[in-house]
Amino acid sequence: MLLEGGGFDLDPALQDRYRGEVVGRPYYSLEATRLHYFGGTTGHWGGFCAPLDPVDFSSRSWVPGSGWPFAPETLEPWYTEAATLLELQPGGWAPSDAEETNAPLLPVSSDALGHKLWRFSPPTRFGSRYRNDVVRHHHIQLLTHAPVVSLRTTADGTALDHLVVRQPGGHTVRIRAQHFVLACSTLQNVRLLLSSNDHLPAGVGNAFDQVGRGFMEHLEMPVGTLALMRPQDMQRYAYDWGVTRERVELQLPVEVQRRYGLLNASFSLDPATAGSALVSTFDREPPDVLEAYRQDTRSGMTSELRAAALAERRAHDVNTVRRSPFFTVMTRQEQAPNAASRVTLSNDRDAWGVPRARLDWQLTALDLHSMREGTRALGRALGAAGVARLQLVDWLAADAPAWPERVSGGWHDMGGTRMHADPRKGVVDADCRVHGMANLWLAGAGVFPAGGAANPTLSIVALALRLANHLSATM
Amino acid sequence: MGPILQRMRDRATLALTRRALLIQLATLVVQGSCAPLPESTAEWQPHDLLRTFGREQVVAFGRSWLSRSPQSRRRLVSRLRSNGPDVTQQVAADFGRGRVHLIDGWMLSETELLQCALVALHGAAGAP
Repeated sequence: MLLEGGGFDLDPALQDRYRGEVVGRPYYSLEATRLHYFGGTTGHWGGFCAPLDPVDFSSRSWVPGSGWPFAPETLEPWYTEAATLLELQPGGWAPSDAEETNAPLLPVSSDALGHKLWRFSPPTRFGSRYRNDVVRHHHIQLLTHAPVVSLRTTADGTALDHLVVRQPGGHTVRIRAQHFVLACSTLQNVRLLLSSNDHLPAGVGNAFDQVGRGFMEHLEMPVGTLALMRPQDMQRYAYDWGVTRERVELQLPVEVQRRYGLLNASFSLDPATAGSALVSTFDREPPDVLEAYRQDTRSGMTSELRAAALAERRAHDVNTVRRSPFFTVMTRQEQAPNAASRVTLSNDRDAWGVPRARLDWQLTALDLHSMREGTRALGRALGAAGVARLQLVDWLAADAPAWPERVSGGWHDMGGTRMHADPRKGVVDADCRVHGMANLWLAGAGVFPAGGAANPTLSIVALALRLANHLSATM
Repeated sequence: MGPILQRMRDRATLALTRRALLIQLATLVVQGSCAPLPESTAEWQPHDLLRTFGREQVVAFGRSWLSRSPQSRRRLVSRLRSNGPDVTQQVAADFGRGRVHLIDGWMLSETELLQCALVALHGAAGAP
């Protein structure tokens, strides 16, 4: 049985359930970042895909709390299957595995700087792409407009007994099952676990005060301007919205990360528009713009939009670069695991009587150090290779380390229900089962113990497929 | 020619040669301290930066560097020379070893800032 809190399209009254408080660093409106309807947030995602890097799974001495409870190979087969569901170009994930490899990569020393391959989904809108598959599936019973408002445990608090569903009309239904999977998004999973406290006063899975802790984002920031020293074909670095299927970005090798004590990050290069200011994703993609984008692309990309995107596709050849050798450098950096960055419950309640989420997003000194020193390491590597010079944005060039007023993220809510073998350090085990609960599993980026430098969707889908396989073998 | 006359001629030649040598040495010293150095505009040109940023920006880099670290043309050339003949290699080594400075946010190597400073000094003197 699949319970969907929303319907097949957005309903403002239902979407309002996702509204919440932001009490830490400035963050997007919580009701704008996630979509409460069939297909969820794939309704407005951008399609950026890459698997987590092997270093993301390792326990790094310079990143407290890092490490996944399994090796990267564990997810590999599921990444392949997830890539198919997300309609990506097939193939491995080394830059040499790209379909188009005719254009050269920047000639940098591999000891100092590497490349990371990204692939782009059309983007697949799960709500439209897989609706019929789900509705017609013999083994799936889909209930829409069935928001879960509470998890009820057995009296001893070691298993879920049933879910409480309160339909928009006020009708309440109890759903019993042998196995339960919560896949309501990072914040909403936390909210349900914490607010379901009939037999467990601290909430479900929260015996060690771990639920809600370790909220993470990807720090997506413009960090500087790059000037190429020689004209070069930049086709493989280019990204044109709705058109590009693969591109490469720059990445500091693990040894460099270790030497300078850096978090993982990926640097993209986009042709700079002369005279334009570098803007954060906060400013470039406010919720109303995103909503307009979602409306326009609700069934993938319409042929009209794709034609427009093709028409606007920019040249990235040698001649273009000769005319303007300047590129904007954007970083997508992982956030250090941080117990103080957390989701708790607000005193305010939604129309269903459920406490709203309260987000206290916090960064650490390691996040800032990585942004400053990682960008400088990039500039040194490019300079040593004779490839380019890098101009840092003002706040990174300043003598005193300090964040700018706005630190922007990628709309990637991660953590809060971290995966860890030790129940004192995480909420779910390596199989995504909630510690202390015999029959409750979590899906979504909330279980990520470390977020890496890759956008989360591919890993979310891979983990969901792995969980489905696990449950199928268990049941 | 008698042996006495021959000795007198030899002495005069030696004296002339010594004088010429002194004059030549003096000329070299004068040239070294005051005369323009052709290699400062040719041999030490930061070709990559000039191609990418243009002369105006390179002069601005140079002036900014000179304001932080005032140096004579002679000193700049001396420092560039002491680094060895291959400037490109030296710039790469600077970046590799962290001898990098921020000028208007641009990460530039110490060697290329010396080059930019030379260009700035020539610009100030009206030289090409």
